[in-house]
Formats: sequence, structure tokens, C-alpha cells
Amino acid sequence: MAIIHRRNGARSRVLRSILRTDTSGADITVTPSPACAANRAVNNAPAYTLPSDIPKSYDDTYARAIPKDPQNTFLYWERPREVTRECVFPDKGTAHVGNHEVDRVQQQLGQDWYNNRHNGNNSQWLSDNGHWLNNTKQWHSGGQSLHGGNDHGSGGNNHAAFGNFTAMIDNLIGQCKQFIEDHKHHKYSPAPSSGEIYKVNEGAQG
Amino acid sequence: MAADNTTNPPKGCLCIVLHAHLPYVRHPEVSYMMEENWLYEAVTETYIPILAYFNNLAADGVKFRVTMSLTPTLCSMLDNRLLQDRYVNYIDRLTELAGKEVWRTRSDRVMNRTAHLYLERFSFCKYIFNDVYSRNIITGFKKLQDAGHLEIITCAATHGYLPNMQSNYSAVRAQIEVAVQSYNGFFGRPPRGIWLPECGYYRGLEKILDSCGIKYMFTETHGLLNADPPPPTGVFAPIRCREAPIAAFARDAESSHSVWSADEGYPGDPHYREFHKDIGFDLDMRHVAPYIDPAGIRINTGIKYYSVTDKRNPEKQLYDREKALSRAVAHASDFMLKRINQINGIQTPQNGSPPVVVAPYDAELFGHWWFEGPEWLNYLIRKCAFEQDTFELITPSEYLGRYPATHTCAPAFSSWGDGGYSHMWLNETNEWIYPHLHRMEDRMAECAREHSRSAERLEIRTLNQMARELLLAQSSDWAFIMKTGTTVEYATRRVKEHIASFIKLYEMLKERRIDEGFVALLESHNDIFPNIDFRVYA
Repeated sequence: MAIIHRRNGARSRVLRSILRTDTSGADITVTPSPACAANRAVNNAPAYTLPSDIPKSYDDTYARAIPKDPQNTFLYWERPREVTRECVFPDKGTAHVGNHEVDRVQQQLGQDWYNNRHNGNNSQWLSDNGHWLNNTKQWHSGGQSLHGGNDHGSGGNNHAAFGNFTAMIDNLIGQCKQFIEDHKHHKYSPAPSSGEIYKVNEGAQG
Repeated sequence: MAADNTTNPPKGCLCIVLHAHLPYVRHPEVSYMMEENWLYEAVTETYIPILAYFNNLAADGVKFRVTMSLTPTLCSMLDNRLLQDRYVNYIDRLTELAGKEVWRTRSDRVMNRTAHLYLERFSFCKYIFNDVYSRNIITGFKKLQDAGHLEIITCAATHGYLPNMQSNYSAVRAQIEVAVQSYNGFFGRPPRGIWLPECGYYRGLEKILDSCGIKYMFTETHGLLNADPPPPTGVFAPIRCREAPIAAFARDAESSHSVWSADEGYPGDPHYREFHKDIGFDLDMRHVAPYIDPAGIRINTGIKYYSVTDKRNPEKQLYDREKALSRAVAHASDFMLKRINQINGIQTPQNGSPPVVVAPYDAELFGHWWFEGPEWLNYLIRKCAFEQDTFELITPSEYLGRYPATHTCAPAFSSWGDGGYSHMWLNETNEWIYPHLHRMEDRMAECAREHSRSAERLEIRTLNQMARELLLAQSSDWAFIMKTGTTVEYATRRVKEHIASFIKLYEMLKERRIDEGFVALLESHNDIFPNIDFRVYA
């Protein structure tokens, strides 16, 4: 069915209700429809709010990686402080979580880390647990699942949890190495992406 | 003079793909939420104009084939009663404002003509929306599909960026399976094809697609060029995936450049309407206050009077509709000629299949960002039908039906995002969400398996709502917004609400103390996928 722009009927009724010329030459008075007037008189206070507090950690032991591109993989993990304190630095009391893994992965892969970023609100994971593997010219990533596995709750056996955790990290390192090999010949030439067009007409905007 | 596949076989094919998507935004708790305007603007500026042009093409007997993806979230919003009612209010207000503009600009002939254009446009949209389609424009697209002009494909349920979920099989599978179910509900049959969100593909994904009945997908250009082994036909023929019988079409970079390029693309033409100079920002507050955010925040109204002019020069010329349309005609001719030259230059493979040029675009580019986009599309389709016989417009299903994919290979990890991989959705601005999303995915799978055989009614409702919260949290739009820095506060709030709601539901379930009031609240607030079954995660 063709969509025909009707010249009378609905469209004209709309126009007539909107345009009322005032022959005295004064500014036109546009009479809003009752629906429009009611909409302007809104009380916009929300009727309810939803919860939005999210945990800083899950008090669990696990590691996971997400391939980002042929040069970067995002590797993050969580390991409760009790496990670290007891197993990594048993003689030193308070431990800085994360540096040990940074050193180990760097040693395994021969990569340069960039510095840990403690970025407050949005990087609460990174400040304790997660690290970018970056600036690694030998790296390539691919479409394989990178999952070191979960160990839900260490219970009272922190050493067992720590052992599982190191196995997870080693597993992930092995998978990442395989990605390097699988994707080392990939080339990418950027075609214009959807993001570019939104930069057209950049101009003054209030 | 159109090419046809019988007496005058074409040398090639052009597959135009329009990807229409918006994240699920619906706020019944307030009477106004600025982010809901994304839908209303898209309906007014893109979906209704495109629908109208397609219907006119059909009525004029023009043979055309276009592929469109209508994402499940978009369909859900278009089908939603609250949002339909709010759209009518929106278009009424806009029409009223346009009427005022007709009066205000009466002494300036050029501006007044533009004001009249908006008044007619908005009135037309109201008529189409309310009277022709009874407030549900999905039926319009469905009719075009049923008539054979449109092939509508699906997308992941909430447009989740699948490569970042790949460590959890059930999470990816649920995004696809829920999408297929949703599509079936709206269009009466399962989808044949899928538009992967952001063209995000990882090796092995095809197995999940195949298990859900999908027959073909689209990848970014280098997804095929870096395939193992690389196809001899490049991106000009679909390939058959090695690990599952799914065909993959790849985006053609050359046809994209003409439209998407910020420097050389058509939308940057000086005569086209400029996007940013809107009366919502330019006019006195007393004039626009009733038509912007009730809190007094200036927003786009959609009424703009200036042309692009010169991207470097802040002084803009007034918009001249006739000149703009003549440029659209010229650009349609240019695009068509470029495709003719392109196809004539492609060597036909030995099996005789004509090359196919795949040209995908965000649907919202046409009409919203590029005001003359729908007109360009209309001119292009007509020109292709009547002014050349080198290529024909085709859909992927039609192409595969005539020329099945013969080259088997494994596509490569890729996306159409900036950088070609996952950077837009995994960087310093949004990486914080993934530990939470992955934990939600794990817990959802755990609960689905635990309760798959027996669950009480309230438990079922809780589990289904957990599935909805997870799906909505996974929307790639939130991470994208965090990266682009537009409505970051809103995107962050949305992710946190879904995460927190999911956790609360999970804990209630585990402790066997379910607050039915809270479940009911979430069901009414996030009411997408009413028929979802949590067992998709089992």
C-alpha cells in the first residue's frame, strides 16, 4: 500500500488547529492541545529508584582474560587478601596484591608492563587485581576462550586456593601464547567506521 | 532496463544492509527521561521516512531488495505501549513547536520554507504512526518483508558485544537464542540471518549461531581477508565457515567510504542540513522551554535551519531544501556509477558466481545524522532499477539461494569498531564492567542448571528477571557510551542498576527469601522479553 500524503482530512485538521492568524497583527496565539499542555505541567520526580550499589570484589579466587586486539589482552583476577597474605608473603603481614602476578606473567612472556593504574572509581578492579598486558609487539589475540577457571571460595584452605590460582594464571599465559602464534600474520587496514560519520558537521553546540 | 537474472543476467550484485538499533530505554518511574528521545528522534527522522519511501517504491512497482536488521531491543521498544503513547505526545509537542516556527520565521522566506517542511514532516509522522500503523510501525516493516522487498534479520538480544563474552558459552548462546525467539514473536518465523553486534566476531561463534538456526552472518572486511585460508574472492563472495555451515558476508570498504567517510563522504556536502545548530540550543529559552527537558536542559528539537556550509567555518548558510535534494540525486548517481565501475573491475571466479558488494550502514545515519539520507536511498534504489543493468539489488538469502558459498575457511577475530577489534568496548573507560558481567554470567548459568528441572512459580519469575537484568547489562551501548563520553552518567547508572538488581535477586534466591514486591517492581520496570525462559542459560 502506497503511503500517500493526504491533502485534506487529518493533515489539514492538524494544520488548522495550529495556525490561527490574528488579524490585529499581534503575535500569533498558538493554542496547545489539552494533551500538550498537560505534558508540559509535569512532575518528574521518580516514583521509585532501583538499587545501584555494586560490590568492589566477590571474595573469590579466579582469573580471566579477554582478547582485545592483536597487541593487547585484558587479564584480571581476584584473590582474597587472606590467601595472598598467608601464601605469598607469609612473613610480611600486609601484602600488596597483584605485584607478584605482574612479575610472574612478565617473566613468562618477556613483556614490558606498563604501570599499575590506581584509578579510583572505575578501576577498582585494576587497583587490586587486574592488569593490562600492553605494549607487547609479539602479542596477538584471537577468538579462543580465555578462561582460567573459577575456584568459588577458598574456604579455610588458603594454600589450596593459592595453588589453584597459580594454575589459572599459568593456563591463561599458555593460551595467550597460542594466540600470538595464531594471529601473527593478521593485517588490519581501517575502513571508515560508523564512528567517523558522527564527526561530520562538528560545530558550535550549545 | 534493470538487470534481472533471466534474460539479462547481472554482472554483479549490491547488498544494502541497514542496521537499525537502539538500546532498551524505558523509564516508567518518571514522566520524562531525555534518553527516551533517542527512540522518538529515530522514529521521526529515520524509521518512518524509510518506511514511507520503501512503500512508495513498492507502490510504484520498483523492484528493490534491501536487508534490514531490527534488533530485539528496538522491536521491543516499538512494540511497547508506554513508549508508543509517549511518542504521540512527543510528536504532538514537536508539531506544535513547528507551527510556532512557521509563524516566527514568516518574514524570512528561506527559513519559513524550512519551517513548513518540519511542520509537514511531523504531521506526516503522526499520521503514519497513529493512523496507518496503529502505533506499531513494526507491522510496516513486516509487510514489506512479506511482500519480498525487505529481508529482516536479527541481532543479539540486547546487542551484547559477543567477543567480550566468549569465555562463557551459555552467555553468548542466550544472547542468540533469546534474539531468535524475539524475532519469531514479531515476524512469525525464525530469522535466517544475523547482524553481529558491531560486527564483533570471534572464531567458534558460528557453532552457536548454527545451533540456533542462523544461516548467515556479516563480518568486518578483515574478518574475511584474514581468514584461514584467505578466500580467493576476497570480500566479494560469501564464505562457508569451517566449523559450522554458516555463510559469512564481509563488508566492502570501498562502498562504505562514500558514505561513512568524515572527510569525503556524502553527508559532509556543504548543502546538506547541518546537525548541530538546533533551535533547542539557539533560541531564547522562553521560546523553547516547553519543548526541551523539563529541568531546563537544552536538547535537540530536530528543527534546524542551517546547512553544513564549511566544516571549518562556524558561519553557516541557511538550508536550501531544493539544493540539498539535487545534491542527493547527484550523490545517488555517483554511488551507482562507482558500484558499476567496481563490479566491472572485479574478476568473476571460475564457478561463475557474480560478485556481491556488501554495503552495510547504521539505519539511523539516514535521516537522523544525514537528514537527506532517506531521499538519497530512494533516489539510489530508483536509479539502480531504471538507469543501469550492471548489477541488481539482492538480499543475502537470495544470493545464497542462487549462488551457494563454495569456499570454506575460518574467519578471523574482528569488529567494525574503531581499530578493527575490541578497543571501543574494552579500554580504560569501561573495563571495570567486565568482572561484574562475567560474574553475573557464571551465576546465571549456575542458577539455571540448578533450577532447570523444578522451580516454584516465584522462583521462575525471579530467575527470568535475573536473565533480563543480565541481558540488559550486557548491551554494548553502555561500554560504547563510556568510551565516547556522551551520556556517561546514564550508561554507568544503567549498568550498575542491572548489576545490583541481579545480585539482589541472586541473593534472595540463594537464601530462599524472595521479596515478591521487588521482583514485581523489576518485572514492570525492565519488561523486555516477556516470554523469556531462564533455561536458555542451562
